[in-house]
Amino acid sequence: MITSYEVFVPALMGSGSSLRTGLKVRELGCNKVLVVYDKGLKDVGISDKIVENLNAAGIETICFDGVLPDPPDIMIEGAAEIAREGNIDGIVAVGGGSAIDTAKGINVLIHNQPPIAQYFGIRNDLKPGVPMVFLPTTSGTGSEVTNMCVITHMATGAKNSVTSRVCIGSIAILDPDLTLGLPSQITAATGFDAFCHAAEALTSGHENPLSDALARDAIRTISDYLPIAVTDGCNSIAREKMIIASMLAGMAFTNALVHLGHAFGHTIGARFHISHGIACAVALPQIIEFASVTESHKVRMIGECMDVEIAKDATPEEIGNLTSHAILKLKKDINMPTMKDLDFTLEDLLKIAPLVSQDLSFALSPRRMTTSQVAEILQVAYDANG
Amino acid sequence: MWSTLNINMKNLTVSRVPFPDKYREMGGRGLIAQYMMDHVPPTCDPLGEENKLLICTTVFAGTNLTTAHRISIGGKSPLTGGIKESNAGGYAANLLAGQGIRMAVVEGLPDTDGLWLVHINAKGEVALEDATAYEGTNNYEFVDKMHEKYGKTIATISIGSAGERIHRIASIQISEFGEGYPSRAAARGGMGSVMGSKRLKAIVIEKPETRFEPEYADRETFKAVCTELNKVIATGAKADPFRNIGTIATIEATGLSGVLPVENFSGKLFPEYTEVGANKFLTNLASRGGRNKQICQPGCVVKCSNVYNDKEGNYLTSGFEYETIALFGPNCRISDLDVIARMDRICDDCGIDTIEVANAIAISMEMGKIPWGDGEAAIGLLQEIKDGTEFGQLLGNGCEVVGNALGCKRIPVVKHQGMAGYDPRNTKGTGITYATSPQGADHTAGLTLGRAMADTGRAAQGYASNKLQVAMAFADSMMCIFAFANCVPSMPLLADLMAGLYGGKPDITRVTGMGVKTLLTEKAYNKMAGMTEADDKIPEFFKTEASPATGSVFDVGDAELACILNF
Amino acid sequence: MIIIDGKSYPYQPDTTVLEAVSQLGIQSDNMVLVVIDGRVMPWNQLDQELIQDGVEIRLLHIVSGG
Repeated sequence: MITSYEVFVPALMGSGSSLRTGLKVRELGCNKVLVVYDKGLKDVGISDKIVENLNAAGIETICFDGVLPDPPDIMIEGAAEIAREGNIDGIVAVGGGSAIDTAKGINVLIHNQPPIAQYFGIRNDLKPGVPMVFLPTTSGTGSEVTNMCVITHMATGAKNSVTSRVCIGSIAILDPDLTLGLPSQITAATGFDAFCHAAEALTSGHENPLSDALARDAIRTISDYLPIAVTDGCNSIAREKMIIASMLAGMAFTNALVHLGHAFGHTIGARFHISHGIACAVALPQIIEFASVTESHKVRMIGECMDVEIAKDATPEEIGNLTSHAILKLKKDINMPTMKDLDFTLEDLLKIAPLVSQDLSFALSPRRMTTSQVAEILQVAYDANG
Repeated sequence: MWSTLNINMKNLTVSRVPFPDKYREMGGRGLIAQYMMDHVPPTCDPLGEENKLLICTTVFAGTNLTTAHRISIGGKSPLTGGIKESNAGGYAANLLAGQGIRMAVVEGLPDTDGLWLVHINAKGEVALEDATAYEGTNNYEFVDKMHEKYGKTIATISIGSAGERIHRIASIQISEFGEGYPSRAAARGGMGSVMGSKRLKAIVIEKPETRFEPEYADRETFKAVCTELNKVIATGAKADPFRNIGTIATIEATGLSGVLPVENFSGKLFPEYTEVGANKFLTNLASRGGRNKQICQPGCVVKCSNVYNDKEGNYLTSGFEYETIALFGPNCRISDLDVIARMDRICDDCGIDTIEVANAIAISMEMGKIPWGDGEAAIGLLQEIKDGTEFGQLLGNGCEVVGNALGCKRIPVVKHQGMAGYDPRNTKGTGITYATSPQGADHTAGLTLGRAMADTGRAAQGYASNKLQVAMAFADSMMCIFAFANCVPSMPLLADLMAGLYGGKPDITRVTGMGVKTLLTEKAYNKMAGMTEADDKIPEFFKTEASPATGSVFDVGDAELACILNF
Repeated sequence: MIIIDGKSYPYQPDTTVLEAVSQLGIQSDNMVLVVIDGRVMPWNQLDQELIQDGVEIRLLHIVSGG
């Protein structure tokens, strides 16, 4: 099988690395940047530190603090207007996936006309934007190293993404210090999102050996350190491991892509208004078990990276079963909300079954799933109450 | 009220009966699937008494929807051994609809020697007439004779000598609107031999004095939506290479990417493809008085057809298409467009599937029977089919028969049907369609080129094949797939059209459901005919020989193929 | 002036066809045929041909196959 690995973002890593933001932005040749973040980050003082750091390096800044979760297209279009009027020559985003995706969306519209919704899909035809520097504060969406930005199309309420060179950052700065204050629930949800990225990249029909290697390391690290980061948010080692693991998972999936976990996750998240990481977690164990029929050697890797003992002659079904149980256990260890906690009925859940196949990620499944199989998976996930 | 034309070749009678209400909202491929399930035993001998030849128009027959008058011809295929729907453009469906005929069913075998044709006159009277005078007459001469007898405002559905000889790759040729050349081919699957087995030479339809008008549930809504949809398709067609050049334009995409078959699907590139590509074609048209942007049926806004003249400016062939050019051309290492045009003419004339016979000729070249690239020798082989020589008989029964006879290990067939002009290693989704379509190696059933990530990759190819197979199954029940391709952004309008014509709610699942139901019915029919998962396979050599152009092999696993048409 | 898909653009000497087309954000794509004054030109040759004043370029999108 001939595979490829094409999306790569340079990274600067380690405690204190965010203090080199100004230097790096200057190296990129920028003089005036738009700094993108949400109000929450302003309240905790993180964004001010970054702005200060940039100004100290002689970089002029315009601030956009209007980032909203699940970035609405109209918000992005408004922010892009500010960017264009301000004649900025760079963008710095600090925050979770929403801030980074907002920055990417703005970059799409720097030299391409709005509305941004017209650019949904894989686009080789967009005019380039400006350099972007990303500082993730969650671990996380991995968006700092991917080529896609996920946006909510307000006219329809649906989420969609623009996948393009314009969405690739010039550098990602991964400073675990920025994640020390992340609340426990968000740590768990975003950490599990990273786990899903790695597990889905590993079992994807668009696999490649580099992504596989990155995904395996991400899975190992997340299994070991996410529970610690959840219960002891100040543990700097756990935070350092997690921010790197999230990046590795992002690198893995931006090249190998995600599939069923995210198809379920996007649909569940949109219907029940629950956060992305939690939504993707709902059916992941069952999905990995499903994938094991055609990808058992990859599912074995997931299991073994989670320290599951799997016999050499285990059947694909056994491998799937053991690994899915390990994933269920991880969910419990990080106190992910159960079905009961999420408070939806089986009936509600089954109603979304036909919608799961509408999600683009569904197309990337290594093994075709029918709508009735979607319903079966939802049923099993509900019964497992994991 | 629509009619069915019952043509009983055992009793030698032809009659009109009311078109059954149960098939009211069916047409084209969907109608054939359901009718076959209801009336034709899946285990029957395709050339025997129990098989039927079905000829029908689309669900939008009789309306002004562009390309609604596509003709679908079906039955049990003597080539694949399963269900077959083979469609074509041309004028016949338009005139059948004008005559109020939604479907013609040809059944039974004559007890006596003879040859017949069905004639429908301007008054709508139908007769089964003696056609022994035309025995052995090939399609061009036959059409000329029909024009002499009935004038030029007729349409013909006819077989040539290949069909009369019951060659398993015999086509049924439909006359084009305008000049009436018999150049639109319902080619795949050997329906011409089914027609020949029933000793039916042709159906000749005169333009009716009074055109039949279908009943509309809501005429005004239908007309308004139809106008809108026709506009959408016409707008899309403006930037469509098929309109601006012809289907030959496809070679400009496939020639560079390894998708174009070269030297019996060797997977190599053929730099000389430009000699048989768009620019050469356009130059020849311009300098010889040929034409493109031609319609094959009234009201078509895509206009992909053409008239291709020889060096002297005389008519040579029409409906000169990519498949024929790719498979007679680079796949045989032939780089002379005029030679290929002559071959197209011969095939239309004696009524033979160009895809099948071109594959057979490539195999003949691979096995040393004639040299690679020798156009005259290839024409010589086609002449053998016309002359009915021993090798000609083999050729007339398809590339698998020829391959087996010559001991070739590289036979590009699925369900015994030859592959079209797309190498499955370099457009894997199309390869998945070849493998899993109930129709056999049929590119029109779901060509995924450029539709899902990298064509040589695995991601999303199965998904694309599934989606396209559904879409093509309902598109082939409604219109020409080239028109459909340009109406995809406005697909919900098809649901509005269904409601306007047949009543009920404008629900898109009525349209998509048509596609799913058709596929499931075809699959079930094939299963009852004895097909198994073993028939859903790409030939082994595509899995082991890497394409030198890209390094790809066809590596989609059996477990993946097994669930492509699960719904 | 040059015409691309029916729209007029100023003619700039020493511009290749690739540059002219790229300024519209269009990149190499197998499913898009570039037709220059009625002639199809493969993407890999577009950077070798300079546009002439008055040239008409059309971009045709392959949507089907057959």
